[in-house]
Amino acid sequence: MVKKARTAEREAVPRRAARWPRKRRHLLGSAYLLLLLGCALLLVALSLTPAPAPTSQRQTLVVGALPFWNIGGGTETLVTHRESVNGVSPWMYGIGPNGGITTQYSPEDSDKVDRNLSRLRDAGLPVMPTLANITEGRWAYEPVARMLHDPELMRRHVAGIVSLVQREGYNGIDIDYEDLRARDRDAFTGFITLLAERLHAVDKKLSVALFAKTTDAGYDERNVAQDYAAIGRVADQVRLMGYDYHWSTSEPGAVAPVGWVRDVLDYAKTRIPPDKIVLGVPLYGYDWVDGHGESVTWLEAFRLATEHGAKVRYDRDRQAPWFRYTDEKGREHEVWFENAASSRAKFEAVRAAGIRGVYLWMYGHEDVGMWPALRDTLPVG
Amino acid sequence: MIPWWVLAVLVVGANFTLWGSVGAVRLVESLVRRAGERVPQRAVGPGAASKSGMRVLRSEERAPGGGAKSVDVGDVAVLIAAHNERVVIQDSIRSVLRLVPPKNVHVVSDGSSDHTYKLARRAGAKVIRTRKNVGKAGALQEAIERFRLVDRFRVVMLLDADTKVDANYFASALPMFDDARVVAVAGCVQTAWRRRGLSLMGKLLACHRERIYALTQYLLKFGQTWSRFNATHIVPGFASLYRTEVLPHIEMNPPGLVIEDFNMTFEVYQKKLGKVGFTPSAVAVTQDPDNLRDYVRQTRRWALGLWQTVRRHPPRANLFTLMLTLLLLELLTSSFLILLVPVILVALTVPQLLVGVPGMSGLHAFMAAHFSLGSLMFGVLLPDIVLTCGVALFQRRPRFLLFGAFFLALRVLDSVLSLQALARAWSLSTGRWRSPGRRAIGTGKM
Repeated sequence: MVKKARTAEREAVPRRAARWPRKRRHLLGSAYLLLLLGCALLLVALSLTPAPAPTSQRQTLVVGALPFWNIGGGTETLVTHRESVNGVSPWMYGIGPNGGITTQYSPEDSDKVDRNLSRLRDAGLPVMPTLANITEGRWAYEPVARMLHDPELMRRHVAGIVSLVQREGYNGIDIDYEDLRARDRDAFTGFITLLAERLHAVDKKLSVALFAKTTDAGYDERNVAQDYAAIGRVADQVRLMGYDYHWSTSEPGAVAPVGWVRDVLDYAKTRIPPDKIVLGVPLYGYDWVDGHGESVTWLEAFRLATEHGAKVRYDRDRQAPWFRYTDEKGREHEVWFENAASSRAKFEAVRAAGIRGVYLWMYGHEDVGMWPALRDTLPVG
Repeated sequence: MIPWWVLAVLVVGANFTLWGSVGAVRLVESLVRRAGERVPQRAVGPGAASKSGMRVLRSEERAPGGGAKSVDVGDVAVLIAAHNERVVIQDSIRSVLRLVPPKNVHVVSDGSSDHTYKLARRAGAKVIRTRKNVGKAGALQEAIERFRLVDRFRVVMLLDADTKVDANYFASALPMFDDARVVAVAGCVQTAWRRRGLSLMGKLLACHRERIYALTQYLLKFGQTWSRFNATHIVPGFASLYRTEVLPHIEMNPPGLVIEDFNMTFEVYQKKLGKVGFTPSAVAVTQDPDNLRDYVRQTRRWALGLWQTVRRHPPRANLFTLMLTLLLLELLTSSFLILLVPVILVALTVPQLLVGVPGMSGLHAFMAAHFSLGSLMFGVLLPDIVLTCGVALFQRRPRFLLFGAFFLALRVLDSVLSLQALARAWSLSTGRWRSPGRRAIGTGKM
């Protein structure tokens, strides 16, 4: 009786035979599993590749920053590697003792400068020269400070810059005013805001070079003077000078240790829209002896190492090459410089951070291996 | 740089978050319902349970079909498939005989070359032998037919020879069958803790397994087996109950499969046979491998069984497939990522190792740009430790904290085995088995 009831109960559950033949089922199941595997691999790959910087409109920027003393060699290099760069900023304007705009190179060099600027323009590179507060070959605080705290002087200075840009047909200007004081903060921001307004009104761009820092207060008064967030709001580009972590009068060490560079970018991204941040990458180093460092190009460092039979080592933590040697007078030297590997590490950091790009501080003969590394990591398409 | 919380979600899991939340809702719902029920639960002494200790509490919840008599222990056939289980078989039978009448206990000895058959008979069970070694699933199928379990019983308990069923098991599990839609009840796994003579490695492995059991059962399965969103990927074969009426619809022993329990679960859902019940109070204690070799073998077998089963069952438009897709996607992704952890760790901490190897400087720069020791710490190590602390607190077993540092290493091993097995899922297997080494246990404490 009971047994019968159970059998009936059992049959009440609709029997669902396999709807598909086994082979087809296996095929579908396999396809499902492979699809899952593919999706998982894709997820892993996506999570490991850097977020594509919003490059659709905002293309990666690679700018050659050409100091006037290297304008000949630097122009040659940039024209050779034209496909790897899409901007140039000749570092060549300064400020006269009276606050007017001057050129940093001597008048007899103006032909040479003009020739090279023409070559750069002919190569199709947008030119955005740098104006620095250099007066008669030295960083000068006074002329800029006077301008910052005198509305009339500021207005005239801004007008002077705008007319220079228009007269010479530049794409814009790059402002590099260094060593300001903490009390100049608001005035400097005000100046940049006004300049941006006037330049934008005539369809020109403004870039501002700022000291690297990892907190708002930074390391010094000059850092306080630079309000990342405010400048980041008004300027088109903020160029962070990611160099001289060790400098000529510090103890020897890497000019731009990559860990510090990453910290700088991490901080900067919290203040400045990432697509405005352009990291300055040094292509030079220092040869320290007796507490003083003399700047050296990659080529000079290479020669020094060869001449003295020094073994070049590579600091993996800081991502920088270095060596020691003893000179003819028996003095112990320590040299830290930059090469293809050390630059690549910084390019990778830029890519990972998803910022706009880099500018190369083209001090002199760089490691030519840097160019393929640049093409690999930050193609300008 | 990958934000640490992305790493954490990828490594710890979207599934834990999702099903943990569903589980929390289930818990709240059952608490509210219990509070709403003013009627005290009555103890019912059905036929076979007249002896003390065999009482089954009947749930107040009415079956939707209404009227059907509740399942009691007299309706449950216990079926143990055993292959060379001389060491543990008698203990297992004796322990289950404390809970069900002797006529309900069935043993099938599958190709045993030791005294399993004789010892099982002597312990008082009904025993048969397979003619040749047919594998666990084959043995179960043969036993179900030869013992005519489908006709004679309403529920069959599939029990491993090394499992000890807790005294409360049936009282907790059987009322779940009051819901006519429930066709299987998954037992709650615990690992045998107080085994004497376990090596340090054995203790670590037991600890690791217990941690996995705790996490998957409380954070996954409890939510997955809520009657409203019912979809779980495994009714473990070590101590679980099936309504006998669905067994004829389940293909128990398809050729090539190395384990049967994933497949039986998938069959239940993909053939829409019903729902799966689970309550953490239906506990059974299992022996986990006590040495690394057995652990590797067992983990590999489970992983292979899972992949083979996934291959057998094409996806369908149902909740089960959705649950499975999410689960497997995360399993695969986290396996790949966990495999990368040691690589990244080495690349970041021992950069000197890579000096002079061509191409390595680019790799190092890449690794260093995307990962930092900090994000590994926060994204991988910390979540792992937090989970461990949670389990230790929940289980009130400080031993977890002691072994905490090593779980990550075992997870790396698990990932390797899981991915290795994936490659092997396309080659066939006979389904023959070899149990991990067993040891006799003192009956003192389970």
